[in-house]
Amino acid sequence: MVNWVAFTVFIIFFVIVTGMGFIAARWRRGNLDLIHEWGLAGRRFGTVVTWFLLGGDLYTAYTFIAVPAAMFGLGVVNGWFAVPYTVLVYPIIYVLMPKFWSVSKQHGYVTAADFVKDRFGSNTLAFAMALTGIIATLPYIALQMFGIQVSLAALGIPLTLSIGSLQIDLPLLIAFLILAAYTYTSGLRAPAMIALVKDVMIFITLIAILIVIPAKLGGFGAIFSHVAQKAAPATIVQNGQPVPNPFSEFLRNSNQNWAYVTLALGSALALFLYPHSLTGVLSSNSRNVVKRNAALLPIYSLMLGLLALTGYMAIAANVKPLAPFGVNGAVPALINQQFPSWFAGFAFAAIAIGALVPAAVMSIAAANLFTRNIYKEYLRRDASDREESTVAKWASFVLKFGAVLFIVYIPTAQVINFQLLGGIWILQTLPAVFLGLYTHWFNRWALLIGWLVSEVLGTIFFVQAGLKSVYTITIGSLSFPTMYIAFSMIVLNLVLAIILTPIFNVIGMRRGQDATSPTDYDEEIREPVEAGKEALG
Amino acid sequence: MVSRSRPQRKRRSWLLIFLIIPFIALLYPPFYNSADPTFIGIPFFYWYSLLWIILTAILTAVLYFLGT
Repeated sequence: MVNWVAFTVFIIFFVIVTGMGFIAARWRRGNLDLIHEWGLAGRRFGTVVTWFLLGGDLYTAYTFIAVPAAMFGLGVVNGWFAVPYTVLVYPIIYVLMPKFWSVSKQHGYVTAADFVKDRFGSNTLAFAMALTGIIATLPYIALQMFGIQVSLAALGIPLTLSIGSLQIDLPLLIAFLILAAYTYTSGLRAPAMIALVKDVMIFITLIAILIVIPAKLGGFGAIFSHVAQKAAPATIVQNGQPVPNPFSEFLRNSNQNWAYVTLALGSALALFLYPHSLTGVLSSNSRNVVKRNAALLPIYSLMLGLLALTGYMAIAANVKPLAPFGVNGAVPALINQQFPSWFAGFAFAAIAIGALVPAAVMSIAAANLFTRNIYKEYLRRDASDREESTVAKWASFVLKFGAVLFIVYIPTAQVINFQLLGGIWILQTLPAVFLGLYTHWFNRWALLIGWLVSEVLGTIFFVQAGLKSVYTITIGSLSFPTMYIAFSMIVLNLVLAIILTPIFNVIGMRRGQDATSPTDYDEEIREPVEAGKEALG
Repeated sequence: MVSRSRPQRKRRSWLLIFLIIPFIALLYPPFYNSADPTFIGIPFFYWYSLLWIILTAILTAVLYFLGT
């Protein structure tokens, strides 16, 4: 049944945001026929806009749907690791990203692959980085579409409409077309502007949840006692068979410790290798804006931590998850159960809009990669600036459409698995991109082989683990602790790159020319003191 | 030989070493893998993690103002 009150509220916000998306083209006007204007908004965002954009971009449907769902279904290991993850990411950002910003500004890089190409003098390595970025981003965009789909379903909107004998996912297609249209016309300016509305809505929703729900459920003490009950039995019955209880409130043994720690550290290292994160960084107007944001963005991590607890609230409230989304339907069901329908409409609009912002930035970032590092490199070397930006606009459209097909044809439970696989893939670009900021010691072929081996093995382990992101690697009788596959693979990747570099140098596989100079990484480009109006920029 | 001069850069980069603290605090769970003491009903494990969000943000801000 469609809930008309909730639906009306939802539509109102959706329309406002759509209008903003189109108006954004004229905000801080630039020539949108240039890729750095369309895809990086001219690198002119100040501290405040960058804060909203990065916050809106990094905290995605994964935060609002998948993390609380993991808390609901599995508890601490698979859910709460997101908290140490989003704490530890910022010290890493503080150290690395100013360097990346400076060298990119100096040389006009739009993507990480642009940087790798110059640093290691290797088109092939740059191609590998670009390909990884695009492939890892696709399921992430799909996860955003999934977030929209869950919100629509929670409002009682039918997911498919029959037209003749065809079942068409019409509501999702409409959302997709709107998103695609304003991304095409406004580029990165659209999500930057919408992020402002999104973040305010999410914070309002969070505060309402924290005020209303614990009070109704008898406080956090009562909530956690329900959680403890769920975690207590050693085995549960599943399909008539007793199986070990998958849910835990605390880390039970050293395997869980290892899984928790490597998930947190591996994810923290991976986050700013994703194209959409780097795009957010590069759109800021100085390295100090990046540093300030490393100190300011944890406000969103606090939000993530508190939202994660809604998964536990759903346990205490004993909700029946919204079908057909399994554990991912738990928190939407909780919102429907605990709030009047007008506020539920607001909350689901917040989640859906919350998914639109990252989806837009991700598709722009992946389109930048395709255009700069594949199209211009291999298909049309002499593409004009205008052609470059047109290709990027269409690429972003096609990539989003790919994500929609993904969500329509692949079972929803798998979508999140693919996103986990994306995390394993993207982390393998770390040696070239992050270590590349410090050294060009690595031989380009050693980096390429380390990347290839770890990508292939990582994918195999992911499949062997039963499409899970943690796996116990055993070699003969030697059994390693259970670890996040992205983490064990980055260790392997680094070992290979370090061992193979001197070997390749000796056998005469030539190192690439480094086109950057050491000062490019630390250059303080003199910037005016950011006060008042500039800070708002 | 005058290469590009590095203008008055007295950056205190060594202070960045302090950023290791949150890693130590969070990446060794036996430190905090317990229910007690609770805070407004929230077990130690959970509020300790949330507290480190704030502490890390403060640490980063201090380093920023010290000019690293």
